[in-house]
Amino acid sequence: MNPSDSAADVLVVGAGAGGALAAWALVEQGLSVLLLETGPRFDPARYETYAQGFEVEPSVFARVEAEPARRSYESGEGEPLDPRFNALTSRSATLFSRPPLPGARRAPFVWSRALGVGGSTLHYQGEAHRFPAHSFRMKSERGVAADWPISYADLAPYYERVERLLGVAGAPHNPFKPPRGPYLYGPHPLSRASRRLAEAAGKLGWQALANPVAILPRPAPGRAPCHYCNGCVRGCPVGAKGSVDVAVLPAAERTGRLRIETGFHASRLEHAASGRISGVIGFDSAGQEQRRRAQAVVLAAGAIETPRLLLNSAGGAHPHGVGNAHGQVGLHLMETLYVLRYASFAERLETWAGIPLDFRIWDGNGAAGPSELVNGIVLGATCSLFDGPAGVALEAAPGFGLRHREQVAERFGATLALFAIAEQLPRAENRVRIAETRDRHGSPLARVETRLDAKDLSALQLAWRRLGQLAEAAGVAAQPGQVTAYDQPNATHVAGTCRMGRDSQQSVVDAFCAVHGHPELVVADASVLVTEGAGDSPSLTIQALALRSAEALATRARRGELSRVR
Amino acid sequence: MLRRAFLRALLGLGALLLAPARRLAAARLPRLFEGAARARLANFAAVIVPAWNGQPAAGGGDFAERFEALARATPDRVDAYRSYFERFVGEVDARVPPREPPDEVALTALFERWHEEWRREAEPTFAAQFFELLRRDVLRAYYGSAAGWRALGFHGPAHRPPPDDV
Repeated sequence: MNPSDSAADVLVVGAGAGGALAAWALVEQGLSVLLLETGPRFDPARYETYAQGFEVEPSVFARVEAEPARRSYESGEGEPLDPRFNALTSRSATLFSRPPLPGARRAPFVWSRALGVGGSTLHYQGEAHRFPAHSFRMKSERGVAADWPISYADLAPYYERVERLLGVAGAPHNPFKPPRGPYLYGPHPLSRASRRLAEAAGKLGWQALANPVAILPRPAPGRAPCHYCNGCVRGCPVGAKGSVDVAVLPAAERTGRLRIETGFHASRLEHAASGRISGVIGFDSAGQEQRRRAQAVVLAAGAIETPRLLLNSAGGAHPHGVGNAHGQVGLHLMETLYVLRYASFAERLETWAGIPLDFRIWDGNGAAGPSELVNGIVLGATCSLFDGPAGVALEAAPGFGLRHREQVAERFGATLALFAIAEQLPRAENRVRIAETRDRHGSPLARVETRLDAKDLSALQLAWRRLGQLAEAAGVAAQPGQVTAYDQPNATHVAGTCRMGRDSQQSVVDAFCAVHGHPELVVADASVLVTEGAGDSPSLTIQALALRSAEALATRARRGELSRVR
Repeated sequence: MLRRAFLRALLGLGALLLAPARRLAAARLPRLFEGAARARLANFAAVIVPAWNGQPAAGGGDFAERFEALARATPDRVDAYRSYFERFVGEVDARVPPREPPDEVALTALFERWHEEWRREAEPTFAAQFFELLRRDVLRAYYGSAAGWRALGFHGPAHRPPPDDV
């Protein structure tokens, strides 16, 4: 080992939504931070949003994720598919679209993430949702899951500060959310396709409301306004989207107190004989084992990597892993319960243009909850599978020859995917544990074990039915395919594996996201979420929590509660 | 997502691409598809690839090369490739006699019938998987190219006009 002190007050592991906000908050409070990120730093000017073949080549983020050396988790065996739910089977114009055979199993779990400075905000579509108030009290109000140790009111001021930092555009009135003041910017106009769907929602008695998004409608320092290219998932080349690499970290770096080290793969936490966390051990970009030390550590590696790090740090005073004295680390994994139903209209609606997720339908997510479901469900539409002709040709136009090309011509610009996301309730048996397989540095991989229960399947079924209603009301001409979490677990949002709570026997971190008994160790990612916010996107909540937790950490540091470890 | 799932299903083919020993073995193989066989492959591709306005699409010629490369990269399945190819071309020729340009209507009908037959099989056959792999490859090559965009009335990806009011 080649030990070296980092000379920073705090180490932050992971430069995504939570890690960046934590780093920003800490340097604003006068502390020095070393931000460790396993992926690279991308140059937005080199994103291939308009390159020929953009839709058939993997994005720059996907190419990094696909590198074999990046493999960090494996999937448990998928459960047998329940044939009663076969209507949910994923299908498209491919040869292999068919009902599952008897005994067919759910596909292996896939974590849809982006590795690099910016983390998953690099490929997110800017959704900036506050969780509904009831989400924080699911046990008290609905008798399921667990209550958070904080309320919506505790988090509201932090939500507001993050919204202003990122530059969120939205409409303040939303009957499914607590009252709030105006956003920094008014809502973006709906795209032509979204207006069509909003009309359809109205026919059903639903409201298609402007989706609050961290996407600039007007220029800001160092960032251009959105030009509605619909390419958010491939990275915003002009900085309109509030990914943290452009909206947060540059300001933190300008303080001179933030240093970012890319290519650093954290493998375990260093702890003293007393059990106190003193640093991070990992591998630099040259593959050399390194130690970075500080008086405090913030883990923000995501809901799979963070529990992996804690569990892989077993030893000495932590025989079962750091923070795992009660076996809670890794439990309560919540995946993304999604349904995508492709929809082709009879006329071209320029589906290639607009904010990708410019509206949402929250009906059923009010205080009383949907009548058919105790957990939440949201609906929307996206064309990110169909923003080039190749996506249409491959997934939405069956056949060969003349018929095929006629369909491609008709459906390009007229096809999108209606989507729904339902809330998965936390269950202890859905979890991240340590695998026998090891990565290239010898660290055990995470093993993701997640299954759908009857409630999940009912939620997917309800989502599927509602999308069918929406398609019919919108006059959709054809529904050429669908992809669902029933058989293809592909999670963009994973959460819950180090959840917050007051009781250390039932949770991993406290109300300020410090690991129970470890004021020097904070978790600032989706791991800490207790529930999934009724299907809303989690990034803003992760960021608000990170801001709140980092400021509390800075206060502890100022008070001398964190003794410097050297 | 489904595309990712499909690729996972084809890992058996893809993983072999990385095996150096097998690559060495492949290097010793004679070319599988040359002369008349290669021409027939191009005909096959010309129907899968949209032959826009009667013109062979860009990528059609590359298709035969990719077919060759795939076969050579998986030498332990060369017999299967050869067998599939022979069956495929043999049956195509028997049902739709080769001609220049290809009889698109007849070939399309034939492919769609086979497609339906494969869909009814209990398990995806190697032939069906191979066919689908190549179908996707050809469509990606064509519709991701400038020719594909032009065929739809666009100069390229940057030419998609935003609606007036957005």
